[in-house]
Amino acid sequence: MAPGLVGVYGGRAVTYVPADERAATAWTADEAVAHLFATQYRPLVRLAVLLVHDDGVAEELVQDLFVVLHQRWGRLRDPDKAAAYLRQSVVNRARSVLRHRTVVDRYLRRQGPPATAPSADLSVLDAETTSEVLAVVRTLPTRQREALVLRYYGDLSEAEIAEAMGVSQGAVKSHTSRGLAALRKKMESRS
Amino acid sequence: MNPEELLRRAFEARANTVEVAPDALGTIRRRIARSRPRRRAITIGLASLATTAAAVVATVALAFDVPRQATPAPPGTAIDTTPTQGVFPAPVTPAPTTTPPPVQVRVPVYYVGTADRLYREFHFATLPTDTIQARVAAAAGMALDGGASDPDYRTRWPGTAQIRGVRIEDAVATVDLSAVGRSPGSASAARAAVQQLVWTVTAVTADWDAERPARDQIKVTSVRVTVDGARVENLWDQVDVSRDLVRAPADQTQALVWLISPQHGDTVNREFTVYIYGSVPEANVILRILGPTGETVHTEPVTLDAGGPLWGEAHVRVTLEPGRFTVQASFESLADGSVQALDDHEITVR
Repeated sequence: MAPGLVGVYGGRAVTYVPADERAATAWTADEAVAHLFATQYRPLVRLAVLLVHDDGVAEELVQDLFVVLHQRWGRLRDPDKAAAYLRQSVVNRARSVLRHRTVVDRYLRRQGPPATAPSADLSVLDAETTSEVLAVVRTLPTRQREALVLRYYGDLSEAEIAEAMGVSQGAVKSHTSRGLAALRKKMESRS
Repeated sequence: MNPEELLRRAFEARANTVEVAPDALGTIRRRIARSRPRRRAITIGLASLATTAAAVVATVALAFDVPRQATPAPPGTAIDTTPTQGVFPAPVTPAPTTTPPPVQVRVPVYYVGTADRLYREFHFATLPTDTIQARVAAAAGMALDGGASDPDYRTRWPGTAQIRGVRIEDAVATVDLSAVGRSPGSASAARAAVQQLVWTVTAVTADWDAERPARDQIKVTSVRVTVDGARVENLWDQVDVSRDLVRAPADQTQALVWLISPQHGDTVNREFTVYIYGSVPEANVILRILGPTGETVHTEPVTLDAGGPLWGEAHVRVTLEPGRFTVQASFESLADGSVQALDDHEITVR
């Protein structure tokens, strides 16, 4: 349907404006989910995978966030805020998933390592090194791992990382440098 | 290559292997549709954290497909407001100025299947604060609601029944109910309903303990049922609840074969693990996988690590091409070879 006047009802002119031409703050909750899904869903699932190390859990986690986003859209009303909210929620929920994994693992056998097909990037960094680096990252304390993923995968600023992790910028610096130091040490001991 | 660059490349390489589900937006929209308010309400109040109780109510309601408006406790209800670990309906007038980020937890929930036997599923619950009371209330609410992923599972509780509150004290979890309604039917159905609640509550508390050092464990061993804040002799004139309840023996309550994973509706990778649990003669279970038109694409005898009357388990690696399948686990009667205790889950292989 083209934008413009579509009728007069109850003495008021009614116009139609496509969602993507309206101010984002005027999106309905359904429109917000559709728009944010298009731009945020895949990056958020990838971020979640790096935090929880399980593709299925990561995707379910992010889907759940979009359901909550729909319910909270009346309060958010801002795509930038929504993006920050989603990122922060991914970090929080990933933390929760990891905390409870020891319990769940007793009942649900996790799927094996996903996506065995080699990525084009693996030609740059061989699969063994990638696997080693990721294995070392998994052994780091949660906050250090979050800081590293948000910094070196998410390319977020310290302020954005602080917001996503719910900590101060000073703490982000500290977690990042400690994480890097631990990584360096562990990689050296492996080589 | 310095560590920063190693990290960038490793993260990017791993992230690039992640493929999202092709119908993810459709899935989200279906979940949104399911989350719209329905008739049942779960009311949770925090006696010890009255100022945040409104947030608890709102967010738990939001997470469990229930109206956002909390159902107030009936006037004159006996309410324990002792500031202990307890969670009971409490005055919730002041609205919080800020809402903390919700916490997502996975909780076990028991449902009733064929022959009034219990099956367990895990469900995500979104809680404003991760307390044992909130977890129990959430899981118990889901058990009463009956929204199992597997359409073969259901609740035996009447549709009116609600969780009013949960309190945990001295190894007893008290679950306060309201509107327990009319009998779910036979004595077997009524017993199954109560055991659904008891197994769910004790499973949640056991999981809670498993995550904590001994000094922080709550070690719940029994469940006390109250109705509108007061002890009652029985439910529906069929099940004695005048005393604290414990789990009935597993061989009398649980289904004899459980297909624990994948759960119904799961999407799995081509190579995945089937996790079977059961108590069957000679530990023999039949694993069968059906294709989209019902044809058998794989049959395999599986030996559990223990046979009945003990409970055993087995993990079986299976590789399938992408598509929709039904995974079945059952055992054959030693008397006549008939299929017994069939548990089946529909899954999608991506």
